[in-house]
Amino acid sequence: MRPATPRALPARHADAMILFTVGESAFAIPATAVDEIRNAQGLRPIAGSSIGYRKVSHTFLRGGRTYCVVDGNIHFGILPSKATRLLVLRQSNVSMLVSRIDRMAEVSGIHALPEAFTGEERNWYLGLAVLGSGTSEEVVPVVNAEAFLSRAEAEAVLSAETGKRE
Amino acid sequence: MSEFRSNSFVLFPMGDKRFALPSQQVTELAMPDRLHRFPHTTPLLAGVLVRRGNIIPVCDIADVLVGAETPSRKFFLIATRGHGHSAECIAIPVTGECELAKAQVVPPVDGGPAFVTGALNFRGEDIEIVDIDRLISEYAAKAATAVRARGVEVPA
Repeated sequence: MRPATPRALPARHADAMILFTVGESAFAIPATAVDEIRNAQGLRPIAGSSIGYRKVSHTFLRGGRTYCVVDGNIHFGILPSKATRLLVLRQSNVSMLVSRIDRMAEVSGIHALPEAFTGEERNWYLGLAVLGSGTSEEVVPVVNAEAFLSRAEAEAVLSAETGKRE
Repeated sequence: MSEFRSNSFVLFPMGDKRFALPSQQVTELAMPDRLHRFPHTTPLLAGVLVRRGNIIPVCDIADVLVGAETPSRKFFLIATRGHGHSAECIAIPVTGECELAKAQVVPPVDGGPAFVTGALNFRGEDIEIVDIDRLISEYAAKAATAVRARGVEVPA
């Protein structure tokens, strides 16, 4: 058995990442996964969680289409915090409510999540990015946007919401 | 035939007690480093360290070994842990300096935790040998049972 440490996944080129926070926790999301960053106004709360997707807190209308809003605090299991921004995913009707958009960064390699992590985070994250160096070095999980809510889950939420409003 | 075996161990302090890990499992004792935390659901993991460009998960086993009142951890003992056919480094926060020791191993006391695989008597001190893999799996299983008992879905 050969000792190994989690290595960086094969680097293709520097990937542009959007760095954001949910509460006190920092995350990165590939810029290619995001269609729009918008403020959190005009959201319609979802009443109750009858269909079991507790993390879907709101919906909103954009260009005649209804989008599901996943609460980042609930998705990542962290304490409630004030959300000010929405990350609207590309080619999807899903968005995530986050506390703050921090900045953009170029990341030249994503480290695989160590195998010691065996929980839900294996689905939440594509890997870990190391930003900066020395005392400013920071390890930020790169989120898997597909894990926010599947297309089928989003459709189930939206059809339940449509049913309630009719 | 005697079941006793003699081997080399790294003794690490955790509060007032010391425990032993087989020395071939230990790669280094590291100075305090920046612990990077992020949300996850794996029991015992405190976060990760970056060592020479590699990401090392930090597994804080103090609670399991000596309870919640453990003094602050001063160093990271970096050891290897098996994962199927591969192995991965993990950092274990310890409360003081470690020592390399050779001593005869005796079987564990009956009724003790399964992660204690034996004991050493080193300079009059009885020191339990810890199987890190077993400790982590046992704790994870207990945590999952506790979560199930509370009626919450356990992560796959």
